[in-house]
Amino acid sequence: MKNYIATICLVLMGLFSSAQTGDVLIKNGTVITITDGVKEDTDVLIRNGKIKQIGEGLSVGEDVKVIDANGMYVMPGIIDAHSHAGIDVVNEATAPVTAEVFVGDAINPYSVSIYRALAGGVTVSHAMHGSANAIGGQCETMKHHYGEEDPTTYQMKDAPRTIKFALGENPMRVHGEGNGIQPKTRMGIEQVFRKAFAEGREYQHAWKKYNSGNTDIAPEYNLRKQTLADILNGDIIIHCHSYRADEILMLMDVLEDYGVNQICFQHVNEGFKVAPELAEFGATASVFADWWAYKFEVYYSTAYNAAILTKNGVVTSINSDSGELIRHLYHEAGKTQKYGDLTDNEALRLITLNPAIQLGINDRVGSLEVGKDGDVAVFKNHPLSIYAVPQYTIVDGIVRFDINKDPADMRLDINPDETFPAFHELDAHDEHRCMEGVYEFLFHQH
Amino acid sequence: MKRIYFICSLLVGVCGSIFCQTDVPDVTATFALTNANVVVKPGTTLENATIIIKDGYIQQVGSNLSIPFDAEVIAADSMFVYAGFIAGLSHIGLEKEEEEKGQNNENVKRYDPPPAAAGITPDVSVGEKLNPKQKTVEGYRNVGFTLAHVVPKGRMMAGKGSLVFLGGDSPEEMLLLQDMSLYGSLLASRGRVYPSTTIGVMSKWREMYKQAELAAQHEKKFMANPAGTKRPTFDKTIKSLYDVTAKSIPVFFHTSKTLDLSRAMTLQQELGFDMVAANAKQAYKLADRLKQKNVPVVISLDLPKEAKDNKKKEDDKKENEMKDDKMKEDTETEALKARANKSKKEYESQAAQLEKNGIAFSFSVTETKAGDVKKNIMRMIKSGLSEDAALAALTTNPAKVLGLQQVAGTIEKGRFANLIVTDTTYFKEDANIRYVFVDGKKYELEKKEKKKKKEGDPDAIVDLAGTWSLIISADGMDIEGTINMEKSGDEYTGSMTTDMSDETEFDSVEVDGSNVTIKMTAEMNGGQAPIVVDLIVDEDEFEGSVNIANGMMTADVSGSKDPN
Repeated sequence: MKNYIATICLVLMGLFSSAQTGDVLIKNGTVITITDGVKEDTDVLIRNGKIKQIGEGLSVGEDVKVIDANGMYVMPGIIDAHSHAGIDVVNEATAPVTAEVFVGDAINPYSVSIYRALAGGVTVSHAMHGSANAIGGQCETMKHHYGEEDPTTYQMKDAPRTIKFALGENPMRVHGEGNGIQPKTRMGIEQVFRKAFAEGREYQHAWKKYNSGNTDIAPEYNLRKQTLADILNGDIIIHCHSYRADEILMLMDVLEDYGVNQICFQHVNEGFKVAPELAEFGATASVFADWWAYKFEVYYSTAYNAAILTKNGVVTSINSDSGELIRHLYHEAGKTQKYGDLTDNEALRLITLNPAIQLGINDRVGSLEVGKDGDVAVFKNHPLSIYAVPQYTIVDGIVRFDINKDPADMRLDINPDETFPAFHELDAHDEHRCMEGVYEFLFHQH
Repeated sequence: MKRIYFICSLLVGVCGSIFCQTDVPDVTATFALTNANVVVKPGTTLENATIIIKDGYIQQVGSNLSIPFDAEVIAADSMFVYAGFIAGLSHIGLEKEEEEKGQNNENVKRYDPPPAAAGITPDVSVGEKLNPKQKTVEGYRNVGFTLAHVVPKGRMMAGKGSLVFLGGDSPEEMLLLQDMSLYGSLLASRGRVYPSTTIGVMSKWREMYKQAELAAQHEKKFMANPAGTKRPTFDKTIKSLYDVTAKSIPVFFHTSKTLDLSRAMTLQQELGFDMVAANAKQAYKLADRLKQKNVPVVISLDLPKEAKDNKKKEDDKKENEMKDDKMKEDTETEALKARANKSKKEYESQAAQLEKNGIAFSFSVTETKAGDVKKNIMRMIKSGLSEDAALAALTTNPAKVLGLQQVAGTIEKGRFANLIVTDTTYFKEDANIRYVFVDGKKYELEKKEKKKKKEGDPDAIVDLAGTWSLIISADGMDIEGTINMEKSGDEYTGSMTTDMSDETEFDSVEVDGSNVTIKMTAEMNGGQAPIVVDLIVDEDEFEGSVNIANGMMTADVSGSKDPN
């Protein structure tokens, strides 16, 4: 019954916000498929937003846009498994558990960060809730349809639901230090998880009882507990902000106790210490290429992290968590060849198919295969080369970035009362946004 | 001297109250407006027609009518009569204090605040808070409004709106219909308590809506069969949403910008409540979606500041002179300015765009001063809105959205005697409203003098001492604040506090006749920024500008002295 309703909802939603799709033929490029090797002098044809054909000497009618990729590299659109670009709100930091909130409600199509990401070949990003709470909000898997003004057209509709969890200092500081409530310590964070899951389970049982006709009056509706029940049900993939190995093991223990197995550890700077354990659990890892030591709990790490995780069989991705890094994730991926000798394909998987797997969308994106979405990045020079420059970025068959048509002012929504000379604060999207909205919170506390 | 002034003002107060008392009954409740051009409804005008009003209703409209013996006759030759305007959304008649709830949240659990602290007050009823003496009642009536949909000020769920006559001596007399709407928004709580963000607010809407649906079901079950049924818990907040979930009243959703509108429509789509898009400024961007979902629109009468090219040539001249002095502005700034001006035009053309798309709309005046109503309507007309559509937005459209089409919005027999009489067609720039009838009661207006822009008077004597309330308007946002001024000898000292900043002491206050210049220094981005406030003071009011960080930002400011 529930599934039936959900299906109807999805169909209805589809009616109201159909993202645009297009046709394009990319000719004579070096096609990096990720799943089927590298093909020289090959064409990729996208029809109605889907890859229709990959082969040599393809031709189309005059109505279809043709990109001459001769001497260029054609790869799947880059996917960022950890970003905060294109959303107005990052943290609902008021409670240690806010599973009910959803950053997809705050998509901001006017955020130029989305265009900047496109200029770096990124077609899909995972817009995440911040790390202020042990269980933060649900995240949005977003297609970069920059130019559209209806936020719903950015939502990748059939992508699985995901939710942000956070370990360590951030939730401890905001709630323990800031508000004087649990969690004050790492132990406290474990108890926040256990209590939340226990409540979710209780809630699940209460509704089961009501739905099967055993009780007359419905239990009190609680969207937070409902969301926790959905996690227990396996409907939501957890993406957990993490640094220390001991905490990573702790969370896997908690999840095992509650029968939850879909988890991607984010940052996971000490992942290299527990790589076999992660692989055994089936957890995945999304890391920075070479960024750590920005606070005490992330003092220990290594630029070999991605390579070690990969070699241990952990599905690993490299993410940005930043409006700056998102513009050159191909460069970040290239660092794993200096630190860890990954092959070209292993390195490129870190920013294509692997993040797609972590987001549960690998049936649609992450590689160039017939039937997959027409999300493509075209580069001058090999994308792992230091000289790589993105030329075209195509999302669902529509060219959303073209280096030859790249005006200085790409804003879509202009404040009519803007005063001049314009005073622009440092664009918040360029900063590390995990704790956005929280600082004000803390200042007022002390 | 001061003492004499005080006594005088006391006397004025006493006299005023004697003459303004309405204890004396009106001479008659019957009126005849004769020989007028009667605009029955948008597009239909009767020439040389007479309107007979009796006991608050329009009794007859037409020519060759016999005038009742007890009628006060108003010879309206060459004048125009329109149905009284209806404000689709307003805060008319509400006191300022009502504005913000839950600001003082220091002792509240942030993760679980009481509903009022979180801006959730659907149980608030605006009817009880009406003040017939509030200056906005007269102010908006004087520009033609006779009925208003009044909603409480607030945040996520501000409370219930009522339909109100802009006349009468008591809240009861003003009220036409109480609690006929819920005024909602996506505004997060003020005091950094849950829900403190848009995403928190959206979740809260979903949760409360579902809770109200289930609670209503529960209550029904209990009432049908109380014996042995679990007793429903009483929750006034949830209970006050039953009318919304039952769809017996609509939600007027504050949807100023495109994103607010899209988000509110997402909620509407999921939850299914009856929605009116209120205070819209960019509704043209989602015209298709609005049309598809048949969502009525109440657009904001607020507009961005006028683009330079619309202003007087004098200003241009001045600017050119300044340009000669300064360096020529770089092309990048020019391009940015051009885009901002284009954006202004888009906002101005919202009404015209909606008309073109066949979307009926009315006007909200929650963010528009009475004095700007006509000016802004004329700007919309200049941007392509037809006069008929503008009139419909002031009369028939709000009547329809508010369920008043039987009783208001047109000049027909049986309608409320809500009328305005103008000396020429309303849409001429220099038209004057001469009479306003509200609920059959006549209000005669003075022919207004052309108001000149205030200029400083070097010989004026002003008294700054006291507390002033002010509004700084910057980037389409109104920031409220107060100035405290103390006088010692000839020198003034004081400080300013605003919604956005803590108390800041003045560095200096210079007074030159009615020109006042206040300088202060504020912490900004870790540095010190000079702030200069230039004011022209006219007795208990001032107008002027604020200049922050040597022109980094400028804003308009206006204010008035608080009565002691």
